[in-house]
Amino acid sequence: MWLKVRSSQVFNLFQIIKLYFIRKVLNLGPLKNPLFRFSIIFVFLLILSGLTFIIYTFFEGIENQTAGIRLILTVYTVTILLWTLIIFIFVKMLFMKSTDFLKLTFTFPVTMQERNTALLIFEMAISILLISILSSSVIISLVIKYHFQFLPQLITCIFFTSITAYLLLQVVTKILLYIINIFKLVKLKDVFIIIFFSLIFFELYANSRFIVEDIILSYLDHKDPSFHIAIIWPWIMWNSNLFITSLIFLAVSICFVILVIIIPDNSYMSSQKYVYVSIRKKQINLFTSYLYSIMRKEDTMNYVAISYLVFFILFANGYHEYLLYSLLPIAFNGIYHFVNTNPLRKLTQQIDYSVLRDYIYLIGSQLINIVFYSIPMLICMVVLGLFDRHSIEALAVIVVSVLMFSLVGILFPPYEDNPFSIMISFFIIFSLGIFLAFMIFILQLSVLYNIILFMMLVCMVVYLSMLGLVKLKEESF
Amino acid sequence: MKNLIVIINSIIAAFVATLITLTGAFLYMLFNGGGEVGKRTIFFKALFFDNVEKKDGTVKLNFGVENFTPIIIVFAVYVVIFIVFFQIYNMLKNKQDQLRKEINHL
Repeated sequence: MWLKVRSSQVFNLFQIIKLYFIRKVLNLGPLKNPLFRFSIIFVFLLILSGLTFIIYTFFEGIENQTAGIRLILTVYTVTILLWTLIIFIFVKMLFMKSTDFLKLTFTFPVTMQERNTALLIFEMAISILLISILSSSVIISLVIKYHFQFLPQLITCIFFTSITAYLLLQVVTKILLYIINIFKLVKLKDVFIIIFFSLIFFELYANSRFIVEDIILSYLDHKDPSFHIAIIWPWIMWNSNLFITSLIFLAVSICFVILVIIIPDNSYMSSQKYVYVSIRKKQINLFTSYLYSIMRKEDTMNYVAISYLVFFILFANGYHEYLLYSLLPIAFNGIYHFVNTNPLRKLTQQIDYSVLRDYIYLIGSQLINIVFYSIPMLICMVVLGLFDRHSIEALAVIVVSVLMFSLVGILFPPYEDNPFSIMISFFIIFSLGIFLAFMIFILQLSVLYNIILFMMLVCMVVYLSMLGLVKLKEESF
Repeated sequence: MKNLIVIINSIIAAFVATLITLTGAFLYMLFNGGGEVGKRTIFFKALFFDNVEKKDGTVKLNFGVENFTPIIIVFAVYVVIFIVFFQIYNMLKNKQDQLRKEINHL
């Protein structure tokens, strides 16, 4: 009785979410254009070939093949674990804002458990897809070089690790949310969850070095590495075979899935989006409206809290040159600024709309918001004498990030807090970013040429954003 | 104004196309040469890849741009191609709009 999940309903819900994904995401903005789709696939294939070549060349140089590949895959398992955690935090950050999107499921004759199961499957599918994309160059180069000799190791190291890690993280999230609900701290749930998993990530990242060192030392001593929970699946595989490992994997996964489904979860039910800020009516104009739109957002407060946590962690660990990069989460919020200010835009479009003014307000309000929240950080750094060349570089990166995230928000507007459009836009922007980084690496240009290239890219970002605003204006009429 | 936008769009498209062509050419050179030691060039001798085996057995890699002229020429050719492409596209689109208007009048 405690498990009220009808597989047909879960399947139907999953189909609806998938349909929503195809219609509202894969046909959004520039993705409507087949030429753009083709270009993105082409760029992705270029990156994949480059990485595959590099990894293939690396495998060519390995002398003791079986032991060597086993060592590499075991170390890679630790990397997969870290990537799973990053993807998990990323997906949670996206679904933080998905209340509006999930409203469509509220009217369906399904139980909360069925809804959560369908969502879990969808989140898992996205996670596995991302892990597969990240690992594709390793998998392809291994299959080209050794055919299917290392396939069982690949399955256990990459897929078993990422799936169980994701499910375990999901169980921990559910337990945390349950405790948060008991203490009536629902308002703080997002920030609490993100901070909790960020801390786990930092801890795991710090420990991963020791695990990797231990694995390498065991390899050099011609011994099996000692047991670590991080490499549990390769470890079981060494001591048994693929069949037994798969059975254990299935049993563990089923237990986790049941736990995820039965722990009650109402976390996607909150409705309040803005915090109250006293506004003097005399000072209201279009720019201040843009500014209040971003400053009053409850999510902005969450991102500010995350930024300050990252700042303190970096400060405590002595990474002083990276301190101002902690402002990146606030810059990330810029993705939603276009959609948040859309009602204001619709109003001005009926009176005297100017694309240039709209863009300046869009960027200006975000920069003022970032400057406002970074003042305590900057004072702290100046007083302690930590403000140097690296800080100026970090500020330049933040400004460029604001421009980039705004472009993403304009090209793929996350209407109704649609988390999938952000995923797609991130995928495209990161593909292009990696491609450009690869290109700069190949060209080996001087500093001056790199600065010129960088400035050209910034100009391109500004131009494309404004072009996007013009197109959206034309579409709205 | 419309011509200026066509030129800017063409420059951006040509910039991206040049970068993609350069990457493609470089990857082709990497995959084509196998593990041969020595210097190789591609893209009208604009890009080079040099791997030298040192006395201690290690391999030293060098790569980058050797000559900018072919890259600039290819970029300029792309710009011209894209300008022509966008102009033809705009002409056809205008013609289509005109025909639609005429059909609506009928």
